[in-house]
Amino acid sequence: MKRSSVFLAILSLAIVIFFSACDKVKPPFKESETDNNDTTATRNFLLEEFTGHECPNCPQGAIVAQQLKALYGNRLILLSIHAGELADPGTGQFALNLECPTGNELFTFFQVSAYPTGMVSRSGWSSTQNLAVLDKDSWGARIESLKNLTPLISVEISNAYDTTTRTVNSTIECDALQAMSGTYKIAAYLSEDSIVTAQLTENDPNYPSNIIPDYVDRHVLRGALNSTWGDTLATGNNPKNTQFLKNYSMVLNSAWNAKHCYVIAFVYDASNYEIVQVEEKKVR
Amino acid sequence: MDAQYYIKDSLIGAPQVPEKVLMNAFANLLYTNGDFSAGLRYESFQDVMQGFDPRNKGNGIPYRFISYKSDELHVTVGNIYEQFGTGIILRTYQDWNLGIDNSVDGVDVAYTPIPGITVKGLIGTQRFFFDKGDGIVRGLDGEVSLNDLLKGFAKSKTKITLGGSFVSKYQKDQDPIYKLPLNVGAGAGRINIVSGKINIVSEYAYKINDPSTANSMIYKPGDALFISSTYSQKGLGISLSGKRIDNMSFRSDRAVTGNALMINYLPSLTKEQAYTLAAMYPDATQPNGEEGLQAELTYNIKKKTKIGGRYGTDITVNYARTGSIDRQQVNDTTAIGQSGTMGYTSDFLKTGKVLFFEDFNITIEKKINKKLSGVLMYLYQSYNKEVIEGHPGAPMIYSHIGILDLTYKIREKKSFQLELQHLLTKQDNGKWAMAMLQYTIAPKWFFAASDLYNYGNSDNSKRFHYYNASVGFIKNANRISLTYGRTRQGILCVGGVCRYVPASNGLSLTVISSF
Repeated sequence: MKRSSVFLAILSLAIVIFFSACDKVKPPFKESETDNNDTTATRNFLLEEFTGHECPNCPQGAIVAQQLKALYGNRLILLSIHAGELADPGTGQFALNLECPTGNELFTFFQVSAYPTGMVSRSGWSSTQNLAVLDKDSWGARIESLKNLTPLISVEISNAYDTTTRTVNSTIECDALQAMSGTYKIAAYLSEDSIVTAQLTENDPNYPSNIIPDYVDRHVLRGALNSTWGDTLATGNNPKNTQFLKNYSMVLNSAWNAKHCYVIAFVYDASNYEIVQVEEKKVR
Repeated sequence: MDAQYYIKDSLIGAPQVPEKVLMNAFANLLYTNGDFSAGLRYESFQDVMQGFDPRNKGNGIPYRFISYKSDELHVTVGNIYEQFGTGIILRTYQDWNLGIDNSVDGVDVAYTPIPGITVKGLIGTQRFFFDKGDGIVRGLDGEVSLNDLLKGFAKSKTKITLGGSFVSKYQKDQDPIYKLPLNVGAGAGRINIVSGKINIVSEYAYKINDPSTANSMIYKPGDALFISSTYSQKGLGISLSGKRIDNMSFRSDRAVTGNALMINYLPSLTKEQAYTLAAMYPDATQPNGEEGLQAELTYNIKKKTKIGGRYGTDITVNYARTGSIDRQQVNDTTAIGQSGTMGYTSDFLKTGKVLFFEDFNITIEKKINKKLSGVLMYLYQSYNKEVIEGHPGAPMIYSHIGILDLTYKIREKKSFQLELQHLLTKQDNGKWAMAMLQYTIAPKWFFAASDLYNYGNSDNSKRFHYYNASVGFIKNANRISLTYGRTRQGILCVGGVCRYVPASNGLSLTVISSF
């Protein structure tokens, strides 16, 4: 009987402890917004979102990306990568092809297996682990885990656009903000914003047919100025304030709206693909 | 070990695999000495086979444990597989074919202080491929056998067991958009009554606000009810079961989807079909909300009767159905399921209007003579592809399926098995037929050839043959099989948990060895 009493006392204590392990959240459920448009040197993030026009959940991913953009302002650069089976051009209103070789290469290399998913500055990848591709509700937490890192390098883009030849010439200047060691590469991509086309959706009372005929695709990857994996920017040891200068150009497809196009340039660690700095600039 | 050499087959949608050969392999080692046992599992994915989560990439020892067990106490440290009740608030398990391992790495203690009472507790973090999940899982479970505990019940023919459990997960809130609960708790109560030929099991669970990617970040509490009853006597078995699930996806990382970091298990109440065409459109549990029921009658017609024949006949009639739950708007301005809100309200006693899955099937098993035995099966299935596979606009698929499976013994150790299957539907890919012939030389060899033919596809250019040929060798506890052929794209489900299977073509090798 004595042993039973001790047991019951321990059990009661355990139950009390366990039942207290519940947090009920009361409305409002959203965090209040803060100003992140800081002009001092910070490390920015590139959110590469994998999406497709026949992916019904993808509009929800785009909403999360825009919510994060509203929170992090200029520190967050968005890029939508249309790749994989659900992005393949279809028939009728899904005939528009938003895929590009660079997007397909990234989709294959990072072994994307679901939508909407994305990478925050490609962090989480290593030669033995593939945890860079995250579900949409993990993007914010990954940004939070990176946002206080000291910036390693700055990136500044200057674009010159020739309307006759539809050629953009980008000059990219990078300054080491700290001493750098190892191999870093630089890649420049071109994105086009606000492309209107059809998009599959679901559970949206405004679209009982599950098709949004005039969906606005934001920040769509159109291609790379200097290949998917870019060029080597720095190798070995480079002291603080080392400057690097790169020039790239690209002829814009006649179907693209140059006024909506941006050059996105980023520097990444060649050993693990993690992007250490990123900037974007309008083509014109 | 499973390995496959992949051949590009654009016709059926089998992609080019740059590595050509992919392999998933594991080795389990278990050592027992008296009250102690220890084990480990080495896993290697070189690279991950098509259709499995690519995050499995790598190799190492993701599972290891040491355990001590006496009459009163059972302690395990390391990776733990555990289940509370029916599993609706906690079940950690491994399924190699689905690519699931949600074991908890931590400490698990089960204590029986007095006969009739068992208390279990565990705490740890869940396996996340070759890493650990972000969250911490804590669980407590108690079970009381009234017949063992109370003298008045000791001789009763009715056995009653009561149980209760509580599971809580902790995860940091790093989300910049939503205010998230750090600790999410779920509680459950259950009862099991066994009285003569009747067995009743029931469990109810409740979970507090748990906004997650799976439920579109809504703050509505979840609950689930599961009831199962069986009656059995010689030659007759009847079972009736029902369930209702509302917002019960429970994971130790709120942002993870797929089959990773699941804390609980929500069983499917439909018959798991083994034949290829019967399993072509399988039921998948919908954790965000579904209700279902299943009834099954098994009857043995006695041998040496007119209908039963010389050896008797087994007949099984089964019916299962799952559909949506009632969902209403929280208010006029909030859409159902809108992120950052309570999501919706649901009347427990009202049923939803959308059918997810329905399966009516009759199976007759009969031994005709000393050499010939067979199975005859008919199924009628309704499959909501839009819900189960997440393809908006996909039509409901209604199918009639007939199966004949004959086994003919040539001699004592040699036999032929012939399977003929047919699926008739006007939707999706239309009609299918399948034939399979297997020759077995027991206990060592088997040779099989099959063809699955989509002869009724409305698109003539997609009337593909999915042919296969395989050979297997079994000696002692070793089994080696080699298969060449095509696999069609589809989904594979075990107990309502599914994974996508891509189309493939090639040579696959399976080696299973125990020592």
